[in-house]
Amino acid sequence: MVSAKPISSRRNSGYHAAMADPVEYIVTLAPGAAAAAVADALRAKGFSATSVLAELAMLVGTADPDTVEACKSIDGVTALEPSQPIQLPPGDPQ
Amino acid sequence: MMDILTNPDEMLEKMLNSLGAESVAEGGAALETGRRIITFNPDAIAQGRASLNDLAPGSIASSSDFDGDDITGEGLSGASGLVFEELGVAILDEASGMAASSFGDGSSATAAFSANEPEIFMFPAGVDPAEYLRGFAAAAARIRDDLAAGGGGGGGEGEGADDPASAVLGNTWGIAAVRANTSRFTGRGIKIAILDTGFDFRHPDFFGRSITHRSFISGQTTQDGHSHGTHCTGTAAGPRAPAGNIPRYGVAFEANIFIGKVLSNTGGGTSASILAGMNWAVANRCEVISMSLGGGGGPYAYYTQAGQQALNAGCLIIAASGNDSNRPGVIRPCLAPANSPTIMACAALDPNLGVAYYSNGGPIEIAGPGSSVYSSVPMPKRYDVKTGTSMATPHAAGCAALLAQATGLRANALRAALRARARPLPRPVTDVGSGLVQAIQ
Repeated sequence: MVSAKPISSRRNSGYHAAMADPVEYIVTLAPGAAAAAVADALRAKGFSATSVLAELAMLVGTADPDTVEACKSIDGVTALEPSQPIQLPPGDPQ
Repeated sequence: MMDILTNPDEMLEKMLNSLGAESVAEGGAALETGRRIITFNPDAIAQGRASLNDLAPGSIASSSDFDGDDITGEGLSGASGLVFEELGVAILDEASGMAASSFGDGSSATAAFSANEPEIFMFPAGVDPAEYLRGFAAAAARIRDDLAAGGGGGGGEGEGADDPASAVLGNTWGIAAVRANTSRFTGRGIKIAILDTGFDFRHPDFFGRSITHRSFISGQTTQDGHSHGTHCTGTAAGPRAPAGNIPRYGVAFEANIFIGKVLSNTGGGTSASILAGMNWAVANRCEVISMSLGGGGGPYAYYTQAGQQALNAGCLIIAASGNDSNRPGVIRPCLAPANSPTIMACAALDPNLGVAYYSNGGPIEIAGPGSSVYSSVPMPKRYDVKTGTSMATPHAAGCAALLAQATGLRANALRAALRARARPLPRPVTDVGSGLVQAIQ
């Protein structure tokens, strides 16, 4: 029903050939953290935020796995986890 | 008839009282309607009719008055009796019937009548009259409610119908097990989100329903190209009385439906698409969010925070525990997002109320009917049976919507009340939590 393998953005141009494929991540924000400020700080470390989930206090974005560790120490970030795939099975039980 | 429609419960009480305990115990059906049936002597039909006309001048109708047409209630309006010329019998209202009984011996009327007997209700062979009447009263109540639809709603606590009387009208086993069929509540005013593969907007059972929708799958509309989402939506919020000979399969039949497509037409999705759907449902302040999906690992911080943010906003998320077990030998742990403590994990039961062999264990909070669940699927198939914790979850979500409507409770208070009202089961709490989810009555 699930694979633990993180989601890859499948971007693999020549420019990025020497780097690991970017992976989609979920950033969980600390209470009261400003999403825009955290996104800016993340961008400075190579994380590209693609959407803000304001109701949930989260950011979604992509980053290279090799550089994402540095993002976890940014103020306002409480967790940074890879997005996981979910797949319904082809038949019962569902 | 109007009495029944106006107050079926009171009518039922009267009918059951008149039936009498002895009559029920003896299997008899001596339930009198209050009218009388006069049988004429075969060679004195004209004389008998004349006697009745003397009894109630101008108010005794005759089958011959209808000239071969069907005898209708409208045609009998104002009549106190009806003579069936071809049969040689007459049916009189209570007053006229009693008057007919008072004719003295030796009168011409007495000679014309061979019998004067009470009319009684008849029941199908093998049917307990008391059960039949309860079913009849339930049907009358349903008609009354349907006629009154559009005004009021809500209401107070019901009278606690312990037996699933309206099963006579047809319900899936899941609807009967959670007692949605006897609940007075409908989900009206409650927003219930189903985050799944979308919904079939062509399904006739949902025409006229309030459905808000959005797709979080790139390049795909909310239209369900899979069937899983339409099935779950049907269980959570399908109609009270589907057209045709279809059992009731939906719990919160007046809830406002919010469809978030977070899984593709092939059933795939990611945490990101699912969280986007959760964010949308919370932004819309959906009081109940049903998530029949799950993946391994976790609990993840993002699902735990999403659940907490939802609770903070007055939204309760219920998610499937997963189907990876093979009981009794193999019991797998609850999947994400159900394994987050801020999200209510739902396990699956089979029709015998045993833990379904596939149902995952762990931090389970509630259980619902999951095996062999009949519900809506995309046209043209229209209906199908599916099995899994995915099917149990919308049963619980629908019951949560009814409870939210009835009590005004939200978030963790709603969650606690739903658990408190569950039917305890003789199973480990790690398998069924508080037990079988129940609809508030």
